[in-house]
Amino acid sequence: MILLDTNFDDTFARYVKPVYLYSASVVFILLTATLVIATFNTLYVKKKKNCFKKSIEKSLEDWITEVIINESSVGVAIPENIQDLFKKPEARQLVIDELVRNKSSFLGIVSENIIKLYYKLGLNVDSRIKLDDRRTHIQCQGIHELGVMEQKDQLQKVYRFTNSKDKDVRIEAQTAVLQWYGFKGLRFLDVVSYPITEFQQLKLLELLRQLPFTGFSKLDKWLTSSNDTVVSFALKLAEHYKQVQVHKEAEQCLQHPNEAVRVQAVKTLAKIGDSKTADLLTLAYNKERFTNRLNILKELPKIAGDDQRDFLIIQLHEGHEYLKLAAAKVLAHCTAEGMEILEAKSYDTPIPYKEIFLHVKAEAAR
Amino acid sequence: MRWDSLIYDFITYAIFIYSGTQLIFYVLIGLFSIGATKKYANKNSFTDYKLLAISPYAPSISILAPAYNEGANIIENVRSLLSIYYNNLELIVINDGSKDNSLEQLVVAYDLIKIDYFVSYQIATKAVRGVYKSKNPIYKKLVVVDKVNGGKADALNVGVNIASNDYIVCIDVDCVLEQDALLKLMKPFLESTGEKVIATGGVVRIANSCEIQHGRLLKVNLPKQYLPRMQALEYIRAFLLGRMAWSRLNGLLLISGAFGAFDKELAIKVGGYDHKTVGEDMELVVRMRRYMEELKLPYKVAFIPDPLCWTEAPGSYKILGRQRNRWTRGTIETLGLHKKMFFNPRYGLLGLLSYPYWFFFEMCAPGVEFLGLVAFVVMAFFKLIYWQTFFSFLAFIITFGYLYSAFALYMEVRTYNQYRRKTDIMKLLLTALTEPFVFHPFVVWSGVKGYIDKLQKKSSWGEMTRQGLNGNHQPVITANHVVVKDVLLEPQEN
Amino acid sequence: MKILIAEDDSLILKTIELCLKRDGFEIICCMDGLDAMEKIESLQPDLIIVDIMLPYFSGLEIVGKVKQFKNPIPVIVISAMGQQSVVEEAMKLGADEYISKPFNIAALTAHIKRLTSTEAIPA
Repeated sequence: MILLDTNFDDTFARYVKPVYLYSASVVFILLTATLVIATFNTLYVKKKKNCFKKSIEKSLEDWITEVIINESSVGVAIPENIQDLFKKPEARQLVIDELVRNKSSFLGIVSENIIKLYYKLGLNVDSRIKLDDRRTHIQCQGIHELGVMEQKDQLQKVYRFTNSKDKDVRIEAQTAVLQWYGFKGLRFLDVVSYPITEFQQLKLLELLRQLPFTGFSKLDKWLTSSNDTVVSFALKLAEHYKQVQVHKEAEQCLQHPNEAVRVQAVKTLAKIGDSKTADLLTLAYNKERFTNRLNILKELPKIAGDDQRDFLIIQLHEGHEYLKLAAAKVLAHCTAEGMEILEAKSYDTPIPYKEIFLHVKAEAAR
Repeated sequence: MRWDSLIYDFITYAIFIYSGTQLIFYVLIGLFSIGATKKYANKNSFTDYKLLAISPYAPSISILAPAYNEGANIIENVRSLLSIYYNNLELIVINDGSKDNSLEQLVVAYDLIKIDYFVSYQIATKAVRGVYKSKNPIYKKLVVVDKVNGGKADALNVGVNIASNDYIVCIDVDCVLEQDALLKLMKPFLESTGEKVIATGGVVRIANSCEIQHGRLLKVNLPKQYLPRMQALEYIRAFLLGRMAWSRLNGLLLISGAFGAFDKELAIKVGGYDHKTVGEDMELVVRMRRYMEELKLPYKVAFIPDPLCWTEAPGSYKILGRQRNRWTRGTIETLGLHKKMFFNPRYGLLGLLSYPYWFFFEMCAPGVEFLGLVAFVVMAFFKLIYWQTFFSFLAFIITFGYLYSAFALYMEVRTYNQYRRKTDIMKLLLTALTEPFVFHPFVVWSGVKGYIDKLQKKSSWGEMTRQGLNGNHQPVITANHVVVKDVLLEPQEN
Repeated sequence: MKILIAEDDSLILKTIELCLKRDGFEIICCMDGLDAMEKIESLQPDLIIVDIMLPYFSGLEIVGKVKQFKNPIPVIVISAMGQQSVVEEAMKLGADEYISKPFNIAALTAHIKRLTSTEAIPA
């Protein structure tokens, strides 16, 4: 960038004097130098930390695995070199991390030993202290550790966090409560006023999958919650655990103002519906836009039959090509002579039905 | 006052205001990126991304990998894409009429057979010659599409048409992905509350000189050659500072074509990639955003600051020049297509800040700098330069550039720290010193060549793409588009 | 009796390794799919335990490849993926047992014993 002769203009020259610019350059150079020093310093600190971590990781890992696989060794004293290590907070955190990571993969004796070791080393205190930290990511970490390590006595404190205004804290707290109390822990759904993100929903579902099913207390209430994400989540629960008793409430959700809820309601009903569900879905179809129309056609194969033939034939002629193809699949899959209808259609109007027919036929053969 | 004094004043003020504004922007970008990166790093520390890969409720994804004459590495590349584990995934490799034996190689390596497949041309594209799937159940996620050559945008559109899942992830077939790249890229879609996430993008880094084995990154090395090394610094600056800051404002206009995810329905609604522009990746994002703005729907374009994807940077001046030339043309074309948004308050931040920023400091920058240089030479010839002012200004600008680069490097070391050796950082700093004298002028010149090419080729471009749309046995369905609009164009509810 | 374990988390790998070593098995450890494939061919283990999500080759691919051998080696798949469709997919490819995480080491050893003893009979 260049600057031109400013003889012509006094105002400019008065304000932008070379000396100002040179001084600014010097400031920039000084700042640059500071940053460069800071960069190398950070590099050094990080390297040191990393080296320390590496140097203890192996011996800690060896020791931890040795302890947790043996039924009797938890009672054994901690070797001196390891005890020394435990004075360092980095080492303590490293052990917590390793235990937490390993805990979620194992059941039975290994899992029990992990918790015993966690107690024995007093790491539960470390985790508890984190709950009172002002930084939310530290709070989250604490809740996470207590959750995995089955520290149920922290329920009172953690339960408060399930409706925390901080999204991440909320998520960890809900997860922990579920880890401790399984399906009963879902009671936070009664009161939660913040949205439960999709990611959190699938995290909770995954946790529940690992636990024995003990039933839901208020599934019908959740399905009529004013919090849309609670409704969505309840629908997923109803789908996954085939809760046919909430069939009526799920049907109501087909009228829900939120599209995401309606989409999930279709999926749920395809799982828990009765003989009338297919008709209900085809009725809802006309009020929906593309997303849920395609969704309905994708779910129909699970429940459709000859009664839906007329509806499907109409869809074969109307609308978007994706919908035509989806309708053709249901027709071939669920109705008597569906494939024959498609074949006839493909001779009748080869574009686009010939390719649709061949596609469906090939897919059925695979 | 003399007439020439008026002109000189004008130039002086214009340049001063221009560089002053740019400088303020850089400072703001730098400051903004700090907070955003910090927030992300804290949040990220123990997220279990694997959850996304294993959950049956995770969104379904179609990966689109266009390939043109990639025969040399296609088997390896597809193999590494196939090793991405995700429950609800299909991998669509689009052979864009390669002249080599890519398709034959794929057929043999993956046991492919041609299947009957109904292709809906809801986005008009060149004809699909065939759709292939594997006989081997291990490769059941693989779909290979063979089509008539039509360029990258056209190939991606074919992918969009064929994709059966809800989200599309576009990827350059020769990119090297980090282990969790796909999961990180998808997570923002599941975390929105209120606003719809329409697209996500990640950080692209330079893979030159890195150790790569079977499509996986074994060891990160600083590029040994000058140009790739310079680009490594440039990418750190652009991604860690620029995009991070813009994403915090939700003002991101570009998601790298090398690796990005989009909401499929919306991508179709807005008509898919525009094959008339060479900047199709940017253009699609701008069009999607514009669509959402016009319907007044709350939305977001998310950005993941983690290095997700590693790509080979041009190592020669010739190829680098061509790339930058194309980027400039792409920017001109994209901004030209959406000039309606320029300082248009209807488009909010997009119209008032993002677009103007791109217009002045990305699109016009090579021109302004080049004209400045021309003016300088002319005036030096007529001995009109006041050297004291000139040198002080030069020093000011150059040292500020160094400061900005040093800050970017500091942020990099503080956060992702990909180059761990002291000597690497030293080398990057030294490279930064040369930038204003070697790399930057070259990039500016390539941009100017982009202007020239743009001006010359303006008419011939349109013709070329027209040809592509007919003359195939497969009818390009245009009437269908009307139907599509009927169903699709209703506003989204929220 | 040689058992190959492919698992990308070092701590989990080590835990399984130690448990099985204690039961008298010889253990070969791998942290990625590529290494596993090479070691399966060169070291000829009697039983294979694989995680599904591995770098380079997924566990399912290893199952597919191993089951195409002239003398297929028994394979146990261990994965965090618990849903039926994935279990079925693994079984269809020829996996002999599917264990979903979190799992009990005792259950794993029981499966190993069952698979290795029945394998011995037809020979």
